[in-house]
Amino acid sequence: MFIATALLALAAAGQADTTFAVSTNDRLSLEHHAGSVEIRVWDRDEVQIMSDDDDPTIQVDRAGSAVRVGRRGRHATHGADYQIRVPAWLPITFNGVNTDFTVRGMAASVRGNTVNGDIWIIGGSGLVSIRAINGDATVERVTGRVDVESVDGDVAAMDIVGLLKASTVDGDVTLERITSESVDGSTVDGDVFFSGKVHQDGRYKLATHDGDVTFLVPEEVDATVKVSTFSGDFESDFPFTITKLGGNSRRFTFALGSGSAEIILEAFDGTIALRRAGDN
Amino acid sequence: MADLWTSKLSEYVDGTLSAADRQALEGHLVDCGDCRVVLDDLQRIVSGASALGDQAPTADLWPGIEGRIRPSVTDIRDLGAERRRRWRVSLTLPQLAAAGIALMLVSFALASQLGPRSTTTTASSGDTAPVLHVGTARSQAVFAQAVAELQEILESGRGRLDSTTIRALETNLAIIDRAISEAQQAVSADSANGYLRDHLEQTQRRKLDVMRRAADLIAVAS
Repeated sequence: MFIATALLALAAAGQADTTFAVSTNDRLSLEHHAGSVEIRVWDRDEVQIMSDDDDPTIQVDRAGSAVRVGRRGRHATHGADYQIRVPAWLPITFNGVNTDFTVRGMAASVRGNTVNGDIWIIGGSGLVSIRAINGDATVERVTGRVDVESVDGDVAAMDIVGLLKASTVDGDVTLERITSESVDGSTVDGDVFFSGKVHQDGRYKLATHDGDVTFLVPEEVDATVKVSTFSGDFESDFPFTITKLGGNSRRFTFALGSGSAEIILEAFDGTIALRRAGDN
Repeated sequence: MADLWTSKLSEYVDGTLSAADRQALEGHLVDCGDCRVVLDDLQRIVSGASALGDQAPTADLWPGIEGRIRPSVTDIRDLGAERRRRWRVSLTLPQLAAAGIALMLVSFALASQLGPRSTTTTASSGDTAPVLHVGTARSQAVFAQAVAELQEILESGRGRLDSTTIRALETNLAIIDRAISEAQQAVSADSANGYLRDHLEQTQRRKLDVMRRAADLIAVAS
């Protein structure tokens, strides 16, 4: 696959600062085993990597338009903290093991994984897809498509404009001030919370197995609300009339306003609450 | 997920797509979850490959995996073979294991989504929405098989993961197992309940996804 790989030999011999140029079609792939990485944008068409130690092993490889940055050989698992500056237009992918990642202000796709660590994406636009296994994943102030996931940790998305998917296994899902036509938030063991605008033709699904689901609704909303639980409860700040009843009293549908949007609220064992925004 | 796009994903990962094609593909990726999944797989494989070097694998898992999953993926075998040809990727054994896992997940999805469906009408509700029969023998057999295969990979490779990661994975798989068990009991008690069936299916998918991610970690660490 990497026949065209050419080693740029940009290892910074004994230096803690590596800078190299990137062009419009390039994309950056970063591998870091342990420590922390903070990525910020600047107005140069260059990538600058600064580490907290005299790190002679950072290596930059180019394969076509793919630029890979990481440590190699016996230094591959060495821990360090990096501060990286990139042009906002540069798509980035990062992977870590015991690594925290923070990315600020990108205007291109951001994809990332870490095993034991937190991921925090702040500001920017475009596609954001991040996944942690043992850690929290947070995205805030992003316009674009956001896919945020953890296994053992909380996931949160705040001030998002665009399609949103958020999930975890053992943790809470918190979605605040969302403007989206499509929201999917789910966990197995934890609570799910949503606040934001309800688009006329939007679809919003919140689900948990063991936990509470809270949907904060604006005063004026046009949505069909579908509630399902096995052994939980339902509470609403809004008066409603059931239009469709499922096989038992714990599965029902009702409309608010014209009912144009779709709100699906599911808690196998927990309380589902439809709250009026401003009352909480 | 159109073949037009999947055929370009490998070039995209290689960085050899033209600027116009790349822009078009990235536009497509915004709306196509299937392509993003394939792309993620490719990037993880590439990431793993770059970290693997030329080490010989300690165990050849693929023949066993391939032999066992083949009967369950007959209906997607041609598609998988075609994709592998188009990807033009020379895979090492851990990568093949990852590819096998992806096939298992697709197989489970097909068994769940394309398996027998019925239109259940509940007298009290008039609810005529199609009900997904996750409880069918086929989908449950595929699920059990996928879990068994993944479990084998995880057990054989757990020594390659650190204790913190293992603990987190095992704890969360136990949480999912408990949820699956509760959902299965609920489905047994109310088999016409579409919500419970969907909930069981989604929870099973989540278990496979977590196990798959664990297997990916092992592949990368091999």
